[in-house]
Amino acid sequence: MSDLLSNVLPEWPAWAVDLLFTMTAALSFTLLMLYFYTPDDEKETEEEKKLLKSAHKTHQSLHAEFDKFRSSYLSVYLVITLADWMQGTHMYTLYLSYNVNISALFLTGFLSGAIFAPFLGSLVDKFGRKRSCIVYCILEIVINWLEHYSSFEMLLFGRVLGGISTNLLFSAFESWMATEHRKRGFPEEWMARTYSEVSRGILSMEDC
Amino acid sequence: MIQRVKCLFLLSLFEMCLTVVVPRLMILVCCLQCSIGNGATAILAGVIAQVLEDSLGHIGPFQGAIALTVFALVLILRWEENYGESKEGDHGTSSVYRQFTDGWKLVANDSKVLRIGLIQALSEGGMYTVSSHVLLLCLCWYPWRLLLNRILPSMPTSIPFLLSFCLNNKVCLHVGPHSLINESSWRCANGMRLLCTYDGHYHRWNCIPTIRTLLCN
Repeated sequence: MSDLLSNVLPEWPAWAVDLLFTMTAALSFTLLMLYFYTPDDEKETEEEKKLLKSAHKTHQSLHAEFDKFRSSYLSVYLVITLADWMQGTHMYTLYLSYNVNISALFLTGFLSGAIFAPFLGSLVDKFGRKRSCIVYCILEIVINWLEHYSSFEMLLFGRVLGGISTNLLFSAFESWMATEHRKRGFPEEWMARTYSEVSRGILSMEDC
Repeated sequence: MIQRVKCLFLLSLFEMCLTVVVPRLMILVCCLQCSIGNGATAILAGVIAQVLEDSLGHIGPFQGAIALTVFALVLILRWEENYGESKEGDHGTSSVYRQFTDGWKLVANDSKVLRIGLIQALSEGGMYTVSSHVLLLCLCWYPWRLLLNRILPSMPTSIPFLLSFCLNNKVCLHVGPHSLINESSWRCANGMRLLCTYDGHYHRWNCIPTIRTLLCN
């Protein structure tokens, strides 16, 4: 396994590969232990009892329904996050190889985001979250396709679209999940479980 | 700064929603778990992107991102539509202008929303501008960069330490959300997260999170 990874990543020194393996094993072991020893937080709340009574459902069936819903959201969110991380980290290197004005491109992206942000949230609410998520995917495909060209104008256009897509990424997906969660009648407490899996760290919460 | 300030009005709505519906303790647990998922995705993305770049050149990670986005698009098609309406079926009659003004009114009337947004905007904005400029001055000096690259190869060192950070978070979750170690770990985790974000955008200095993790751990 170690040899395989060394072949895939030839520039990595052997000690780094060994360290990666050791840490991965430690993390896996910890996750396994926590899975078995974490106290059960699945006790029925009063709200859940009322909900189950009115919907004529069992505790297990409601959980199964919720898990299915959460998986449908998580699968999309993690894939788009992965795609975002993949291209975001290499953007600077790519622009450097094109020998273009990098700061102008980044500045355009930030500026575009700032200009469109105040209106996009309202548009997402009005025209639908699912549609907005589809628009996000289309925009991302177009942006990544534009990155294939070294023309400054095309890259600049891509950055303008990038400002819009960043706003959609941070609004449309989570708002779809929150609304759908309530629409399907799951207890409010369960929303935290979905957030806990996907959402970004919320530093400011401590100060509230 | 501008980029982060604009996030105030979008991100804060969801975060406020979280504050309202779940107790503080639960949120703290949530936030620690967030960092774990985020860090793990970043590590995976880093390795995949590196492999794609090695085989397809600088454009490789972008081609990989297109494939993943197409996959996500197919998954989204199975979702049901929903709207930001105050009442069922209200989206047909409500205007964009009303949605916009309602949002601003909420920000003006609820100081929590404003504070959450400001803190997030200023902390991340500060990290992107002030800190990055300080770091840029120190680390962009060529001999320094050369030395750091030689001592700490960027990607190979940051990934194991990101893993150690994930591990640290997971263990702290188990120790108990009231403990001091958890609070301090949470602060450390956020510092790390911000530096990792910085690292993601500027790729070249991704030894910084490594140093930071060493100091924090």
